[in-house]
Amino acid sequence: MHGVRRLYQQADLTDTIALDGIDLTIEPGTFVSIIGPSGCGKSTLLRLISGQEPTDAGRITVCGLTPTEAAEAKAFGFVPQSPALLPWLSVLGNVTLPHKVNRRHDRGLPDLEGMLREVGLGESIHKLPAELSGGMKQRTAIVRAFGLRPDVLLLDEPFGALDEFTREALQEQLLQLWEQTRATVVFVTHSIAEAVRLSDRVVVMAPRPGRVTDVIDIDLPRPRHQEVITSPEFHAFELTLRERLRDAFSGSGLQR
Amino acid sequence: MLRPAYWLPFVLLLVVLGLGWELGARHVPYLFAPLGDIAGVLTGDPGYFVSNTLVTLSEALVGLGIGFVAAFALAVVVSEVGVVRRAVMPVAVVLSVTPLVAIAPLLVVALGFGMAPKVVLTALVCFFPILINVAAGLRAVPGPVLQVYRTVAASRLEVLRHLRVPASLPYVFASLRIVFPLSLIGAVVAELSAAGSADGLGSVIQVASSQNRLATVWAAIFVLAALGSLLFWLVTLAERRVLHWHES
Ligand SMILES: Nc1ncnc2c1ncn2[C@@H]1O[C@H](COP(=O)(O)OP(=O)(O)OP(=O)(O)O)[C@@H](O)[C@H]1O
Ligand SMILES: [Mg+2]
Repeated sequence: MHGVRRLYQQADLTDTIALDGIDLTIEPGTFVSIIGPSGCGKSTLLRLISGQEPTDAGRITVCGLTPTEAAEAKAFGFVPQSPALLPWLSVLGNVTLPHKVNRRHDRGLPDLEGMLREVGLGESIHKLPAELSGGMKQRTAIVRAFGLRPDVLLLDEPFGALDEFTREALQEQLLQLWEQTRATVVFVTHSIAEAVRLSDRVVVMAPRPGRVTDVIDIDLPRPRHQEVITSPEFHAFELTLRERLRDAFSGSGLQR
Repeated sequence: MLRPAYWLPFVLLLVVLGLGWELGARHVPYLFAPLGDIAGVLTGDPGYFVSNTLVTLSEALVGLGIGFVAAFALAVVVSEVGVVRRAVMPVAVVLSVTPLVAIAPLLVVALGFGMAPKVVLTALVCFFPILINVAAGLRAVPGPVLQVYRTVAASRLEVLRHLRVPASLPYVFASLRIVFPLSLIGAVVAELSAAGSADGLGSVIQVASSQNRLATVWAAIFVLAALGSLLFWLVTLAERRVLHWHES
């Protein structure tokens, strides 16, 4: 991303600068988290990367393509905050449907049932979303995205609505799926621990205008088992990140 | 078997209504006919009522069918094209609360005494409730769902077919529950306006009331009530089949 800028016109016809001067390079195959106060443009950034919206200035390149071309080539998988499943389709139907649209560029059906079993949904393959818990729905949404075999996975606070235990289990499964596919992951989160645990890099953003204030490399060894998570190094990263975030928050005028 | 607590209140009300009706028949004989007479008319010539019911029913269903196809097609256009939506929807809302049956006499003058004015009126009264509901239903796909499918570059047609149309089904059934009974109203009002020249339960009512045959009038009305309930029940049954995934 080079000098990316995004404006939104408000009701009174003035512009909000949702994003300004974003320069960011994400190496293929890395796991990058984006963290920052509410309204700093994290969701907007994901929409720009996936070509849902145009930039007002600057340039985004995804694997050498424009965002729209990359979306056309089915380079993306997207996991929103709410699972966004179709209530009339079973779990299997929900993870299969993305393969039935834009067929020309589909990368082929992987063993979706196997993937569902792997994340503990083996018993629920033929259930409707209404019969699932929140965590099971979000797992379905993750398999739906990974099943596309995308080059880039975009996740917008996928675990925001889950309790701590479910969240940790899903983080584990997300990492497992990622190890297998080695897609590039862009992961929006509000949790410092989550960002440190999952990422190779954490991008800190601040609002008004939405901008990148810090990029922190998390060079902890993988897999990050319990001993890594409880290590002083892990804790040190959490503290650093907390500090950088505090700066971002103080600039935002929000109370925590 | 259901417990008496469920059916007893209803049965009691029915008995009270029946008694009230008989009382009414005795004291206001130019408005009510005794239930026995009404039953007598119905059993005396069931073929007469069956054939007229079929006439009214076919007018209603053909009109509803035409109205449904036209309204659904326009709803798709309205949901896809913002300009059309902003032009059409305010008009549709006004027309949906207008008692369109009032134009029945004009339709009879314009289209004659055949089936045409009945079908046209029925199609017309069904059109706007379907349009408004389906247009809302086609746009009821949550934003995050749309974003998931736009991220994989689903075409508008694919979004329509895989997301919008299924999402609209609860709205389609909501409109059908309104519109099935409405279609009978449309057909009957058009028949009433066609001054006894053709078949149908509305014509039966029109002719019989002009000749002061109250029992026949009421018999036709009861048949219409039963027919309306039957249609409503069929819609509910179909809805349960199709919308098993829908909470309500
Ligand atoms: N469609 C839109 N129209 C107008 N303004 C918008 C739109 N989308 C976002 N904005 C504005 O852009 C800014 C960034 O919004 P965005 O949703 O990207 O923030 P965020 O970082 O994802 O916040 P959160 O953590 O609360 O999800 C906000 O000021 C928001 O009001
Ligand atoms: Mg957001």
